[in-house]
Amino acid sequence: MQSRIVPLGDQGLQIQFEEKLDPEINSRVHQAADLIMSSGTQGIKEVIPAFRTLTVLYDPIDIDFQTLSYRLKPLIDDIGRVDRQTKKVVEIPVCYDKTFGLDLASISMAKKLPIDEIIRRHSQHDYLIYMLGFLPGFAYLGGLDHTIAMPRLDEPRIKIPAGSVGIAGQQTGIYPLDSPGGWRLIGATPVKLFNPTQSPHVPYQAGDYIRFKPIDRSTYENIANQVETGTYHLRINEVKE
Amino acid sequence: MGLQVVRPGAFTTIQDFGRIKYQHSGFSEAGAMDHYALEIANRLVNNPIDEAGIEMMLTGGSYFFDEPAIIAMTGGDCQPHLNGKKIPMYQGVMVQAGDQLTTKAIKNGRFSYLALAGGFDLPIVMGSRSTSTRYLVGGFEGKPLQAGDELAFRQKIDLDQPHVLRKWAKIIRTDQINELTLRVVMGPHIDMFSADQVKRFFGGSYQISRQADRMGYRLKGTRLETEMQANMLSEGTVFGAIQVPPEGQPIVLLADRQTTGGYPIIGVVCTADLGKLVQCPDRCIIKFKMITVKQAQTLIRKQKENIRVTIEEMGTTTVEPTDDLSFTDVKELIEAIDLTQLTLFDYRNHKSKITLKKHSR
Repeated sequence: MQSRIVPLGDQGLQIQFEEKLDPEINSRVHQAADLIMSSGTQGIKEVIPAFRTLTVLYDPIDIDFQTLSYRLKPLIDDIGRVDRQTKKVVEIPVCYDKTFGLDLASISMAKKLPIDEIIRRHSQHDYLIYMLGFLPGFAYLGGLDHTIAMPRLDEPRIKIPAGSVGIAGQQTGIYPLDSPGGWRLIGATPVKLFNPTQSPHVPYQAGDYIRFKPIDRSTYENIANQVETGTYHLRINEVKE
Repeated sequence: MGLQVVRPGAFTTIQDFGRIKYQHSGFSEAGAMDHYALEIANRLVNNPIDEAGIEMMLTGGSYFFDEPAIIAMTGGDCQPHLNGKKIPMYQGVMVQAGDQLTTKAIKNGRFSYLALAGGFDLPIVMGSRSTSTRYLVGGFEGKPLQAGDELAFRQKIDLDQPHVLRKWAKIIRTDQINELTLRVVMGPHIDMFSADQVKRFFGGSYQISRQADRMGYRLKGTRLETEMQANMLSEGTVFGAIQVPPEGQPIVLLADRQTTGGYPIIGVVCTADLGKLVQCPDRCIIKFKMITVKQAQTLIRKQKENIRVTIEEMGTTTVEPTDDLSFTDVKELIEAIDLTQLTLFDYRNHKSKITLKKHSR
């Protein structure tokens, strides 16, 4: 399969697959990540899967670029078409109340759709997690219904609270931390997306799926309390492909 | 206890070699900006090379020790003083309980390191003691050090034993650097730049702009143009990657960089030159020179080997135990006497004399 290995400095290398935003190509990245991390190849410290690249970080004292590429090549060549029986779907509760969904009304106007319909179209898909990055637990999700897709805000907001759910272009996502941002906000989740003191530190991995489950305001408060006391557990489903 | 922060300085954090293994989940690597300097500091106090130390940025601070310690300071010259008396950088220094360490503005550099023999008693969070201030992980409560913070030591220094103090055998450059050439391995997106733009980059001159922090240094100088970057898909980043955003001024990604980025990377600064880049003063002119990955890996192996050899050649001095009463001794003595019926206590040896008198209430 088309792939190539190029240096990324003297402590990293990049495995590049076809330059396309495509679930099939992305699944090769995750297979490569799994194969490499479980291969026990000397010198490898970490891998960072992305849309169509896998970054491999290694210690150049242990192994040089040429030797490592030579060892990785056969592993990557082994990657076939995925034939997974099941996929992991992590259910994220989202309250689409207008106190969180600051941009729901304007999206509804622009798209000439009732708010309920926007919520329905946002919450009826399993979104593939192409990669994690930007912030701890921030998932790059693909597959937003194009009928509700909107460009970013012209003027980014100074502070978007952690847990906010937004859309931008063909993407949707959740802010794991308070941060500035230009995504259009449609709701919020009471769930914390990363926890440094508890394993797993992030409830999902690249290659898993996320499904948003609409909840009302009181359920939001309930879950928020459970999250605070550490008694809330996300629902994770193994679903047939 | 151990060390108390009296004055923290502008941005002082605990750093080791970083939180390496969680970048796939979006956790920044963090860690020391200048690994080379932290490694030497650790070797000077006989620590593992990646032990967590204190990293100071640009300005100085002040620290009170209520326990004896062996420390070493490296990196940019922070002009350290112990109880008002100047102490050297790049060598082991014995600190007594009751001593106050003060550092000043960092000269000829941006970051200074303090390594403590035996290390600080701080939790390892996700494989590292490094501070990630952005999401409050690691270090001292995930934050830069504040006045009043107390850092305990993992090891007690036994003053009744002799201690070996090491000294870095190499000459440390203290003169002002005006020009720096950084060696760079060609980046994975070099084909997004025309041959002419690549030439402009390697022929150009840059300086570090004021937008410089632990995440990265934005450079100012020869402007670059890239082709077809509007729809580039985000990719994993590395320490030293030089990315070129649409406005054309390169940014070098450093310790607190985001784990992924969507701008084309024209090259990556070789690991052996990262310390020089990180410490580079803002007046200094930076030029880039292309080398192969093979050359870069030879350079880093040589640098590591040089540190090892220099350590072996290092001069040492031995501090013998003294009969002096330390701050801790006096404190313990007071506590002990307090528990007894004695109202007056006299102690003397050939160097010191102490009289403790209890007042009746």
